[in-house]
Amino acid sequence: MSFKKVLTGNHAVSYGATSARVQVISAYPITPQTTIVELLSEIVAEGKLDAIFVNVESEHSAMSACIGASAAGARAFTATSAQGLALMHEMLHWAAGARLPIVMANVNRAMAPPWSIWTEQNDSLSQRDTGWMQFYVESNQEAYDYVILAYKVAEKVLLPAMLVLDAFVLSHTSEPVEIYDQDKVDEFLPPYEPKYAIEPGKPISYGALSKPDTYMEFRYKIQRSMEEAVKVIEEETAKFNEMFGRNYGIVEPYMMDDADYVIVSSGAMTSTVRAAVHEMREEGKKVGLLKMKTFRPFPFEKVREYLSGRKKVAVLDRNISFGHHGIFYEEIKSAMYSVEPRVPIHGYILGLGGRDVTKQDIKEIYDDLIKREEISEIIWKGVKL
Amino acid sequence: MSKESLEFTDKIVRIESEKDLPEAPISQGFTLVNKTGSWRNVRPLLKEQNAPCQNACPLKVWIQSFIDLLTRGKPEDAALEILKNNPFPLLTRRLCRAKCEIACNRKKYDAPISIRELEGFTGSIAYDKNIYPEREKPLSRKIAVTGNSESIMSAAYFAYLFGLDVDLYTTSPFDGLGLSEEEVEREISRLRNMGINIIAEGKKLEELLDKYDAVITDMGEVKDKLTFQTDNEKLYIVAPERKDFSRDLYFGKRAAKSVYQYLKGEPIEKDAPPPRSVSFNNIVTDYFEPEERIDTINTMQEAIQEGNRCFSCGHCNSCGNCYVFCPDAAISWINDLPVVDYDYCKGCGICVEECPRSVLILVPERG
Repeated sequence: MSFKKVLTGNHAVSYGATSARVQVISAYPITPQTTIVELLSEIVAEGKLDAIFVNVESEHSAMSACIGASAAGARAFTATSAQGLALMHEMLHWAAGARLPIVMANVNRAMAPPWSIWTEQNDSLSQRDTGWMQFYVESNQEAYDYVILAYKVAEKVLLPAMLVLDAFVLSHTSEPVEIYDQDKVDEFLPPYEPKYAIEPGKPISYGALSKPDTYMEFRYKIQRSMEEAVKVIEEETAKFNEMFGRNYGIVEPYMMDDADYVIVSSGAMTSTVRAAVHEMREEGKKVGLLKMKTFRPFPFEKVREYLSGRKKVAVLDRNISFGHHGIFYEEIKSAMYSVEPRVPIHGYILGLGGRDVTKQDIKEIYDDLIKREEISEIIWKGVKL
Repeated sequence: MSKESLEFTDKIVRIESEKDLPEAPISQGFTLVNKTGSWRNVRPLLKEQNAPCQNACPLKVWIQSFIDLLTRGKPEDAALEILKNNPFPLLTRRLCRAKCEIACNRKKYDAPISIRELEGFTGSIAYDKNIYPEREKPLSRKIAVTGNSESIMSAAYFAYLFGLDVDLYTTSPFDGLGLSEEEVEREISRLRNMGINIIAEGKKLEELLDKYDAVITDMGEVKDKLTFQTDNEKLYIVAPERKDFSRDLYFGKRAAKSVYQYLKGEPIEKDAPPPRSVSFNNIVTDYFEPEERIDTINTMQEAIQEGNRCFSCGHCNSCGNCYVFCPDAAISWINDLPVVDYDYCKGCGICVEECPRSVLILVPERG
């Protein structure tokens, strides 16, 4: 029987990894991620999860250990944040290039300096081009669910996946989380059967040299798998919804049916946007919310479907690509380039370094959006000028 | 998995389209086809080296080896290893000056190994179980060994082991050492049980020289301190110096060797100095923890615990570091020893670097 438990976002991830029956966990502690692997180490030590917990001296090694384990055919898991993720960067390319379905939880934390431990998306978005899938979750329940879902998708398309949750807002805040019956999780997520695994009796070399006559084809295959992943995510999410009674999608619309204005959001601040949109709707404002659950693969089709024909769109970015603008903004604008008639899209930067995003902020953004005539690519919300 | 059991197939893979490639960048055939040993310009070799304890020992007991055998749970083999070079380990336990312990590399780390105790304790196993070292093929030559000193007892012991038939004339064996009657009886009965014919009387030297193929005696002046030869090729005079008990035993061993060489018709040559021993700097001490020395050893448990402290300088004790560290898996583990597969060894030298005891060395490739 499934049961409910009050869990922090981090512990929800630990439970997710336990339900997914991960076999190798290798991690290095970093705030605000630490309690994920801390609880997992206890679960493993108590014998409640048949896994090997590998202590390492850095995140680079944590990912390397996961790569080795995954190459040997094990379901491998790790978790990190900010500088830790940056230190893993080289091995992130390796995991994706070697087509290893590793799942990692990244707790969004602002990059230093100046030092910060609070939420911001720059750490994960900086890993955009490594070949990892990225899912941005909004609640602790989603954090739990997306460990399971991420493995399902990753093992189908042979690409690693990262679920991303906000520091403290999710990671250290408790919410009720439904933990599923293990038999049902096992039914949804059967044991990993590697297509290529290192076996002592069958020597192959992994990640060997590829000359110019084949390298490009390997890259082509990764892109094809990413494209295929869009369909796999939609299929598997539908199955998941049916089995566990959820309502997830590759992107998630809210009050969008007749919305003239749309606010695009991601991560935990989406809940605030949702509440603000709900209140504004009660005031008769025709506004909707589009939640970007999936960032890689980029859900072009759904984004175009939901944003076409709107009067104006505001994209909220808890991140910034210096010298350019918000990263979600640039991606969404680029996706909408081919859509006629042109939809005016405005980009708002807010909540960096964990600054609170309030309902009032969202309402002000809406008011600002309505008034704007010219496209402004970068609008700072709440910066002290 | 042995290499023989793997199927080697050289297949040519043509990549016409991306469909001919696997998703993951893995090799299509076995990588063993690529014999990377051809890249090597230096090769690692397993080469037993001398330890400072062994070089310091007048009797040249292979200390590293007997400690290794002991800690592997082979106390009888360890005892026999000692008896190859030390005829009276129970006496050396009390009387030897233990220069081995002064030379011990472990002394520079925490405290030297209790070699004298270990050797005495291990040697006593042979006494308890009545086991004797193997004798070389009998030469059918009979010699007389006459006298009472420890050098003479040692000469009789080794001459017998060399395959000579020995009549030992002695009236008061181990005279002047202050041994108890029990101790003397214990050693003499062991010599007798080995196969040495012990005659408790004195005989005139001329008589002996007439009757035997050669004679070793401790009466008279030592003419040659290195081989104990005299002007008479049948007569060998040896005598203890009474400065170092083990050295006096060595004199007997050396005299026996001279006689053996003479009777075999080989030239009598003095012993060459031992090869250089492994120095403390050659020991990778990172692999050891400081541990308290056990001064007195009375039980097998204590013996093994103390034996485990031994660096085993220059002697492979199958620690397996080379096997673990070889980045190319070019080291196989056969009969508890590393065997380098030179088809694949690239000569990186990591095994040599990580060998804690300097048994692996790097030598340049020729050609």
